[in-house]
Amino acid sequence: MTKINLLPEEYSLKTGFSAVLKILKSLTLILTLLFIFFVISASAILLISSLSLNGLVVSNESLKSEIKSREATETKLVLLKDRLSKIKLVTSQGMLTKSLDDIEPVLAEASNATVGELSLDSEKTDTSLTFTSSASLSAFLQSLTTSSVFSSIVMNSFGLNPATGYLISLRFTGK
Amino acid sequence: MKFNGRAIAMSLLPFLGVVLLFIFVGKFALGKISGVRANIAREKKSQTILTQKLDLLNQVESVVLDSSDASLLAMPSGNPALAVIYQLKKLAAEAGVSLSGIKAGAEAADQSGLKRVDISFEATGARPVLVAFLKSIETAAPLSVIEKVKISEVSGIARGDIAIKSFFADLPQKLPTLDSPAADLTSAERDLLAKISSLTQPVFVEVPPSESVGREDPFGSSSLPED
Repeated sequence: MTKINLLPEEYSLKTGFSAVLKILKSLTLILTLLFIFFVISASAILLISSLSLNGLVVSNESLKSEIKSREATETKLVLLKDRLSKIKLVTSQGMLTKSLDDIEPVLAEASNATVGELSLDSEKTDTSLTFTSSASLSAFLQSLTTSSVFSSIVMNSFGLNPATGYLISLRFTGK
Repeated sequence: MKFNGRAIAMSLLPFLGVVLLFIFVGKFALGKISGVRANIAREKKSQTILTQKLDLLNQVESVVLDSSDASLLAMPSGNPALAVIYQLKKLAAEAGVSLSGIKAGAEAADQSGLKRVDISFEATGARPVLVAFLKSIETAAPLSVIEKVKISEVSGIARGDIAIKSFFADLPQKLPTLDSPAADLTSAERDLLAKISSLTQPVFVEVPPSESVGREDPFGSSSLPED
């Protein structure tokens, strides 16, 4: 095919450069189309997301108003949790009920004896007992050997007073 | 050359314009979308928390309404000395123990961070009865802990010098925000709740205000004949 060039020679573009400009024009067109597609897509995503967000906000407001209507329950729950945490601080200090539970059968075994002194705290129990007969003392000590509620039983003193009887002092340490 | 420059400009400028538009609009749109997406994520998280909180409140309503009063009686907000003394006298009367020399100290700060009041007294009775009475002290509300016990026995009658401490603490000052999560009672808390629900509760009597005893119609004006 014969090439016809109507432009003067000085206005003509070189073939390579002309190809670059053509590619540039095509790229511009493609980018413009992509840009339009991007704008439409972004607008659609934004619209759908905004609708979804509005739906969530409305739903959350409704939930909040429902929770607010149960404020009395929430207040009581907060109060209950607060009190329980504080009660736990007290119970963790060690109650004497266990020591009393442990020593109660011992005192029952020593029903023939007189308690000179019984001193209790959460860790140990000190007691001094007076037995009028060696038989009752022996039975009492025998009962102690079968006891399994204490980690140790220490006899601190043992004495005999002819007027009152056998006097022993014991220290019980709980498990 | 003039024509060449114009041709280059005519091709390059729209290209640069579209690229710049892409950059600025893209940045703006992506920023907006990510902002909305972040809000959606936040609202979804909030919705999960609110739903769980609402479910929890519906679920624990009956337990909480019944138990909060018991917990407040066990750990009151004010000095419980009078309630404790009332309970001691009631328990002593039930056990057949006589109490004397009841003394309540001033409120003090306990090492646990709670406030406490120390109460001391003497109790007299038969030995098993006295021990049973002592055991009942720690099973009564307001919650008290026996600090010291010294028992001595003369002629079959046991006499105990007893010191107890009873605790109280200020109430919480504010509620958590609406959208903050609420935690259910743990199994340890439920066990503790069962324990405090079984404590002997003090009985409060509400005295109604006295009604006027004056005559309603002192001059009998309602029976006077009308003109």
